[in-house]
Amino acid sequence: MSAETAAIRLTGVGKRFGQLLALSDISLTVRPGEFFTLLGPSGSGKTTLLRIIAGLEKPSAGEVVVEGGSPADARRRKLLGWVPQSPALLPWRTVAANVQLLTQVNRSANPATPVDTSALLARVGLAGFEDALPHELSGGMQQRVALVRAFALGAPILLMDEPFAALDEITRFEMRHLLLDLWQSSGAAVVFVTHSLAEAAYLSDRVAVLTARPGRVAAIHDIASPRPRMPELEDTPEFFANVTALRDSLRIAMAPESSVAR
Amino acid sequence: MKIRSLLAPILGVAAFFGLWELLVRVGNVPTYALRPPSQILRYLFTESTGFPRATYQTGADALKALLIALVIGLAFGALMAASRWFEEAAQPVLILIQVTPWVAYSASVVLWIGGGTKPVLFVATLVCVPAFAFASMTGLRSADPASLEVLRSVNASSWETMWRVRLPGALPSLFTAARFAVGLSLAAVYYTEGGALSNNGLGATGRKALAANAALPLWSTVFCSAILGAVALTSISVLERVLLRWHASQRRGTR
Repeated sequence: MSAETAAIRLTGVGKRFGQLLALSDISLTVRPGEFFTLLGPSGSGKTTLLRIIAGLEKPSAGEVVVEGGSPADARRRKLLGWVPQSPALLPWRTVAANVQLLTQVNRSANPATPVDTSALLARVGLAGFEDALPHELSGGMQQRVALVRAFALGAPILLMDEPFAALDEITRFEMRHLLLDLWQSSGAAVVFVTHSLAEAAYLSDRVAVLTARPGRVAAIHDIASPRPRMPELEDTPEFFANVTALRDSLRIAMAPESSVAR
Repeated sequence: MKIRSLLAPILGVAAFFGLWELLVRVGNVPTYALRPPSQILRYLFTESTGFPRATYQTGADALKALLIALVIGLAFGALMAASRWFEEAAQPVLILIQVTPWVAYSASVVLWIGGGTKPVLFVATLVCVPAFAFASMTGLRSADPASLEVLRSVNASSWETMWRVRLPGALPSLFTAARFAVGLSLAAVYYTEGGALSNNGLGATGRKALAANAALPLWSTVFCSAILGAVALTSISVLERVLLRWHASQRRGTR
């Protein structure tokens, strides 16, 4: 794949924290509009890798190209929508004001046509909650606001760091569907970090499985399930087969170094 | 609920005044030491002349000192939050200001700066700065790292981050500091006014009354100072209700 058709291109990326080698020789390409998942055990450095793509962390080795430039360039041009693990809403701002937050800073980089945030809020079932404060919302609702805040940028790339990890199973199930709905109409490429096999199998076009420390790419899986995907997909044999394949891959990735074929 | 929450403090204060009145009348307290509240009120409303002016003067100076101290304290707090080096340099000085009894040097400040309002504002501002500086530093630093990163991800400037995340997040600790500083500012203004007799605030009135052994005017200045303090604290509470309606401390049912 040529550089022009890549949303994100990582070449030989490594990261060292003092003595600890967190990531080693990661080379990946994320295509425009693709839903790309980083799946790995805890300590595999998947969050670190996401932070490197966002320019929140500097790699110790290798090169990162985001939309044809450096991560810092991408942040300057507001090409990245960041969704952290916690909703990280500002408690004194209403839902509507939280969603607007990122368009109110670094204004010169805003897109010419602003995203209709009230339509996005309605889409995730938060119509009528515009004037609510975060503490009045449930955890799932707060995370939906955080998703809308990222989509409100209209950015071509969204980076999500286990956004549903703190939610209960039923809410997570709903959130997967909501996220796909938002993503499909946005056309953005998503890099999604998770340790949930079901999330990876339901959401992704491709899944990169990372090994335990140091994190390396153990395998890349194509998830061929047709889109649009509906919640019923999770009851199909095809879905179970994908989950099983990911689980096997993860098991090999987590095995001691000596047994990993290299 | 509304009436009950209004009635409780009124009843409390009335009981306090009743006890005071009773103590003075039954306990044979000498009249040059303490007067009952009934006499103070009668004096204030019928015999005295200068008290509204003096109360205004003292109140305005205490408020000015508070606001100047807030601005200076915020500036110090912002610099300390931003730089460990500056924090380490400023902290001992602020602590020194905080622990030194200002009563001991306020007379010297009057000698140095001269009479009138200037030394009053100087002392009161000086003693209030540390509280605001430490509160700002803690408040500005305690911003949620995840929220800060969300802003970093779109390259928000540090000024934008300060204005939209750090400063609103520091409000709860600033309010706590303000509650503490109100009493400090009033005390410093009152006492320094007493030293700088050319000023006609409550402190000067009180000092003159003390010198003349006049308990009634003296206790009237105490009474008026207390009212100033109560009004100030109530205003802070109202402001807190409005500005911190998002904060756990202000939510109904969580207390």
